[in-house]
Amino acid sequence: MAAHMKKLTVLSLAVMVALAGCSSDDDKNSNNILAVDNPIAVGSEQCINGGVETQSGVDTNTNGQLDAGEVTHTNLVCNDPATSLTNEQLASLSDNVWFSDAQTTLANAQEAASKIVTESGKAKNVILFVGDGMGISTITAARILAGQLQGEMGEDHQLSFETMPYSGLVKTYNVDAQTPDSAGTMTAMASGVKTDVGVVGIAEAVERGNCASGKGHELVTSLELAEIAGKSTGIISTARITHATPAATYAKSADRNWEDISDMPASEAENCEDIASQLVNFEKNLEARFSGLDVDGIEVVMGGGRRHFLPKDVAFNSADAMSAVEGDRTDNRDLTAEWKTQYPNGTYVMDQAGFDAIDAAKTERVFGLFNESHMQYEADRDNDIAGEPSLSQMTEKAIAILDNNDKGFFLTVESGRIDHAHHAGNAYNALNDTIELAKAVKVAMENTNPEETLIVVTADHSHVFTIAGYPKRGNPILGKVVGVGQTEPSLAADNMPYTTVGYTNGLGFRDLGDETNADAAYLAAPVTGRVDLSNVDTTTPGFHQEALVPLSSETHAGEDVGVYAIGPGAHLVTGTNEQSFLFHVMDFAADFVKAADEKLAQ
Amino acid sequence: MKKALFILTALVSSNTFAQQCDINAAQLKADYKIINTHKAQQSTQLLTLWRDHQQVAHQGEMITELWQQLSNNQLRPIRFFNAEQRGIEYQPSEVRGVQNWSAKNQLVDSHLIEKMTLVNTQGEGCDQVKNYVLTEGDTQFKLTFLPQSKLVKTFRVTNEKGQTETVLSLNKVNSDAQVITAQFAKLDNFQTTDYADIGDNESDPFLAKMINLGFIEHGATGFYNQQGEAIQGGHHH
Repeated sequence: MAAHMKKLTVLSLAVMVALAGCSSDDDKNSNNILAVDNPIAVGSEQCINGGVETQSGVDTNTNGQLDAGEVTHTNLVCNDPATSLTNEQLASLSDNVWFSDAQTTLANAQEAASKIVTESGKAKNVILFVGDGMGISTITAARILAGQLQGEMGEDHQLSFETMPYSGLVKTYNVDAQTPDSAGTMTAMASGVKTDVGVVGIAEAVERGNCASGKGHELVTSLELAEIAGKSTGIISTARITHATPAATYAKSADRNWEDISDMPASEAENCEDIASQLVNFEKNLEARFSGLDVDGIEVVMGGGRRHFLPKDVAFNSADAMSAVEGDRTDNRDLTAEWKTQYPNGTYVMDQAGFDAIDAAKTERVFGLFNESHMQYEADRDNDIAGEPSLSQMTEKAIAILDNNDKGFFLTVESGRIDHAHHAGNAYNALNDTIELAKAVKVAMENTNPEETLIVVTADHSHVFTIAGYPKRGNPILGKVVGVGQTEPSLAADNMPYTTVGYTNGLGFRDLGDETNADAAYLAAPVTGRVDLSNVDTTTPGFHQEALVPLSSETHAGEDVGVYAIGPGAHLVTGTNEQSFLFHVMDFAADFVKAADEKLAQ
Repeated sequence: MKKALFILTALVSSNTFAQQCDINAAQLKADYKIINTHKAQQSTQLLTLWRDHQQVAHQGEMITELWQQLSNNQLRPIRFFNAEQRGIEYQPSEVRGVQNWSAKNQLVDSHLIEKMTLVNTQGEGCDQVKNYVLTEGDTQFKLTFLPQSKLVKTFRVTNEKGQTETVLSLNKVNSDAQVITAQFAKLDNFQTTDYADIGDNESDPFLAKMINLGFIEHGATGFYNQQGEAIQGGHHH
């Protein structure tokens, strides 16, 4: 590395170079004319880079020196700016780890830039990861926690997706909302068109909750285009699979809450199909939409939300049921049975054992509904009744099934409960689910070829989650602020300690100890004002951070979120863009629209 | 063999005893009155306890709280808002839920009863009562319990120093299975929302109210301490 550094040409480093001043013997001629060279220091007003001032005149008093009164002429020669560092200077830099690491990063960036494929359609596979509510501060805090869990200080740790060569910022607002929700934001990412808050897969002309108003404004999603193009398709979420984010990949609904028919007003249910039904009827609906189209349906569906697929009848309860009656459907349809009839070679699973039994190499398609509602927080998975897989396990299994198709695949993976933990004001679960998302991304990176797979990682929106105070390096990210050089927590003006992470609004302080379920805090009202945390372990799973504005549910935030990418087309993920742009990046990379058009033209 | 005989004897004995009381403790409706007194001030609330096997509900004037005991012994709470016919569903909480099922099911935590001193047993059949007392610090507990129906007949919590008193008294018991089933079916038909989903539904007026104004702090009955926990005495956790 040091040898490489010496070749560097450094511009504009004049002030760093302390050139030695020139000195020369006085010049004396026979007429007693003397000339004296005075070195000028670097940084002087006359010569910023140093130089030489030559004074000359007649030594009228013949004392052998050019006195001030004898100077008749002055000549100034300034040095040119320095164009290289000395070996000593180079050594001091190259030995510095920050400098050398940055040089490595620079070289990697250059290498990545040199490999950019500007041609479209080079991505055989596309995977979109969405951390629901995973704002920038969440990523930073999760990165630190992940490092600290590995015994590091944490700040310099990198989550898997932070090693990707390209990243940018995304503007998340909805057409009608400054601070967005998941329905509008995921519709933008999935379809390339921004829409209203609360609306799934329909353009902004729709009136939320009005089924008829959405007719004719339904959007086409990247998952649908991939399906038309003959690729395998998959959807994974730790939320209900009918929840807004996953739903935006396959459904068109004037209201995100129409997850099953019992959620819909009768007037709307007459003319519009609920989201769960749309998932099971995806193949049929897509074929009906495009004349002559023949597709084979979604190969992998895994998540929560079983209640929306089962009749409201205790006879249909699964072994994993929480409610006395697990199903919510009031039309007596068992959508899991309908799916099995439609796909006799498919595998329906509802627990960890069923999931583990799937042989990916021999499995054509999977329908996994692992929870009645949302799946568990990663830290709370042990409390699931029948057991359920992690996000990274589902991702690995999905890729192993989807890559059986030579034409490639499109997969969307959502970590849905980062958002829920934040809503509950519980950083522990939000950060742990973010770490699990990073693990899932790592699995994807390890199980795909970057030359033919575009992986995009982003969030739909942020939360009012902050990292504040002046904690020292390596201070536990979930702990109280301990200042640089200190061992005891810093005290605020109220003489009480405070945590590094916190929320602008929400339920506020809870101390539930080892409680791994972030939702367990509801019984008490929001806590306003400050709480004395002196004797509270704020790093436990059940600690809920203080909040300023008392609300029963912490809210989304409106600032930009990050986006990270690797693979063909990843170079387009740069700068600050509208969220809808991400669809177009994926489309460019995989030629979804072009391939679908060609298929439809056949 | 001796063990098997003992179990058989116990079952026979239990059956014989149960025949003396036809109230099904697993499925009933019990109406209570709660009188809270602080110095000269007094307030009265009505509470209806509903039991349907693994479900128990506390119905107050505005809110009904329902608890479902799951197969893994976790408790899954649902809070219904009577007038709005809406509900909020929560994920089961594990440790405290297991400990508190008795507090939900019979309004007094079994752990508290275990700590109390049995003064005497009176009456027979459904009317048999057990009288318990306990003093912890400044607080005195006095309980009259109906063991056959596992119901509190009266429960008095007095703090003389704080000049506060809470009295829970049973008014009426209904064991009509049809009535019980109908009530739980009615609650089941309320529109419910997961607690986790509230934050994503600010455009729903009911949920927006939840977000902005918060939940009613002390649950359905007021028969809770300031932490929202059922009164159970001492520092039991």
